[in-house]
Amino acid sequence: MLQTARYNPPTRVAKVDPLAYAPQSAFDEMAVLPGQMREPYRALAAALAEMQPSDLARLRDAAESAFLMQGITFQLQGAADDRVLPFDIVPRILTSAEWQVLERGLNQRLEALNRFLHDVYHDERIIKDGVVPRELIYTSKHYVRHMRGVDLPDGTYVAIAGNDLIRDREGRFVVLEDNLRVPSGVSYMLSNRHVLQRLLPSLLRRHRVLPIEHYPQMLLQTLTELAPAHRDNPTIVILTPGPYNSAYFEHAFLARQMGLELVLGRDLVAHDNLLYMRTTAGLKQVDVIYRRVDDDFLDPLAFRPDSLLGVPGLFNVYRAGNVAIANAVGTGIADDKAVYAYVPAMIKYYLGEDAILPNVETFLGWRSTECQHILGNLEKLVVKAVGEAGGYGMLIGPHSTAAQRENFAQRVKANPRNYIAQPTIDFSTAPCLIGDGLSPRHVDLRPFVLTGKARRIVPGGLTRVALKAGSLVVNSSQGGGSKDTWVLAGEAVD
Amino acid sequence: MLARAAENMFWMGRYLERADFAARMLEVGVSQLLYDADERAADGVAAMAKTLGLRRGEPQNVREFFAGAMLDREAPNTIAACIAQARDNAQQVRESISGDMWEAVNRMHLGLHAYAGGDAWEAAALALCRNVRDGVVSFRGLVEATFEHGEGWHFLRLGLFLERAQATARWLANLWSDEQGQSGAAWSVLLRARSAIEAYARTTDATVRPEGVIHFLLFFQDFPHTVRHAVTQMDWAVRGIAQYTGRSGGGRSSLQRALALVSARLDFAEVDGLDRAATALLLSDLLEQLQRFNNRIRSEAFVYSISSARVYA
Repeated sequence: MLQTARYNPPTRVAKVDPLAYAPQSAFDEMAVLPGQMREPYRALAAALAEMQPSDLARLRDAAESAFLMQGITFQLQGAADDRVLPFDIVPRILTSAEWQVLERGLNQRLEALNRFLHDVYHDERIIKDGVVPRELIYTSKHYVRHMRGVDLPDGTYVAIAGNDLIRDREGRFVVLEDNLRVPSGVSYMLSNRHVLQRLLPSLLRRHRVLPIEHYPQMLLQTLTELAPAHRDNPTIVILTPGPYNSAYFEHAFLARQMGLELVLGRDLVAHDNLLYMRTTAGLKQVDVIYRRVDDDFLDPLAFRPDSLLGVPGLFNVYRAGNVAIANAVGTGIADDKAVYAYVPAMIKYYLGEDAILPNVETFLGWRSTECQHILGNLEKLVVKAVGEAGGYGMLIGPHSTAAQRENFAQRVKANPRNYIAQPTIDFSTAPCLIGDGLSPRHVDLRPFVLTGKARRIVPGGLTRVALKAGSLVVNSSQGGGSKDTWVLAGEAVD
Repeated sequence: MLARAAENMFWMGRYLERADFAARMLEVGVSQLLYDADERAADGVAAMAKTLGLRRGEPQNVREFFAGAMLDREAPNTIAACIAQARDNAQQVRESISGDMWEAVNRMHLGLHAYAGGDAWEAAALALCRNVRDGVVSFRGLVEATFEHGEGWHFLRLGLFLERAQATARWLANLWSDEQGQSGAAWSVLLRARSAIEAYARTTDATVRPEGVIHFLLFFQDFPHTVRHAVTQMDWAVRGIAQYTGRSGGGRSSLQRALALVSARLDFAEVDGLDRAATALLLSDLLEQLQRFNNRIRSEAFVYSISSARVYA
């Protein structure tokens, strides 16, 4: 199990000393042992060894002020002011070979998940064949009955996915969860690169890093492909809950990058089974919505009647095939944390292949034997509510108090279907600039997978960092930060 | 563009102009006070509160009045409230304005702190007004230099100049209807708050007379704070907007027609020998037509019913 930091960086050193960097029990991205660097990190370690701590501090300050000035901020639930997501300037490096495996694995996974969603809202073959239990589907709060038999213009359910991956102790990538509803973070991926490009340009060039800046164009292309077939030059909008949403910066950022209108629910009108936006010139028909609003809030007539964020009548327009919504309504059934456990079986069922990226071992509260196991091992497990995201509604056993465990035990007993548990994984660490030196911190990886008529993935993704020593939680709402992710093109130049 | 975005641009322009005018007024007001005895100061303060549309219970003293008019975020039309509103507008359209514009508004908002009290409050109050004026000027420079001169830009300018025309006409009407104000220094306060004292002296008269000030602030084309100038700028803005909304083809747009009424009232006013009643009528006509123009903008571009809306694919 995870240890707390034993390594205290020297307070006064002339240079940043990567050789003093001491990986802990987890797989470390940079060093096998102190002083023994993995191949892809050697050039980086050498470059860092040439720097004074003051250089790094200066770079860190420059990065922070760049984020603040550009307003790259987020809001915490209940907090009044905007915050900058902490940024660590030491990049995380993946080799071309590592990335190819991830790319194939994600491709396979999204293919299966999209087929599953179509199936579960149409013929239910996977249920009838006994691969996924019926009760599991029908008891999920993210299963949307209204979607039964609805045919989407091009059949894509999950157009934008942000799967969370971690590396286990052997360095193998495993899927921790699939975010298939409204995954966020891509603006940080792009901004991180943008800032590092200015701060460490020569280092970036020497490494031959694959570019990611074309993501907005790829997303725009994907959204265009979702439009109803008869509409040339489709009008696409981004639907946001508004400036008080924690990810509003990202919504505005993407709208600007793609040249799309950023709309609120009240900017849209459903009329005669068509969808329009209110412009200064009158009503303009809308063909595709990239929504950053949850299913429940999309249409007060179809879903939550108290929602002020949505558009009355939108669902009817959608069902008539006159507007595409990305991601489709009802995709949450496939990222229910209990349904997640069945993804490898889905891959086998639909594609006849073994999963390239394995799942984390998962115990389901609704299977009574596994529920007993969960209750008996709370101090070793991570327990999660199936429908939550963002690090909320979660118990990390080894870091919990007896009172917290008791509280969770009650909750699991009261509603076992709502909980799953996974072993606490000592997932990989990467070097971060902490104080004057480098210290290992846990990192995950969220690649963004786009599905339109083709599947598109920019190399890398968002690397999130648990900046507190020993912490296993990378969410921005829980004190996490992020760093740039470099996928190397292949053999290095120079 | 989105109707909501246009509305936010329009109001951003309006609120910053309102903040700017309040800052100019209060700055001149503080300077004026230095020479006034207490009871005259109280009169001046009451007139100022009326013109700026400040609606909060009687302030205890002059100093408290100025602090409230500058910094009370809860009361309408104070400097702080106008800037907070403008920031709110900017936040709603943050993806379509330039980063520099957002930063400028944000900086103004964050920079408004309570100033030190004590006997020396006047200097701090004057500095605050100066900062707000500088902030607004700098914002406008950034609008011109860092923002595309498109539909949103036209709406922002439309809001700015409509606010300016209305504020000036309203103040002139107040002063004209107020017997005491006519004789007092209030007219030169208005000129100074409009940075117009030199231009007035150059073009109109060496002494400040009510008729001269009305004439100058209504009809003089080439000075940026006059109603005539504001109407010309608005005309340019509504023509620009018509290009984007595709309503320039079939003759004048509805906004252009509404504005033409304001313009005509200025063009065909009997300039010479305006008597007391005719002047009052002119001012009230102008105010009414400006208000109608404002309502037309709202019903035409911001909030319209689905049944009457033009639909396009």
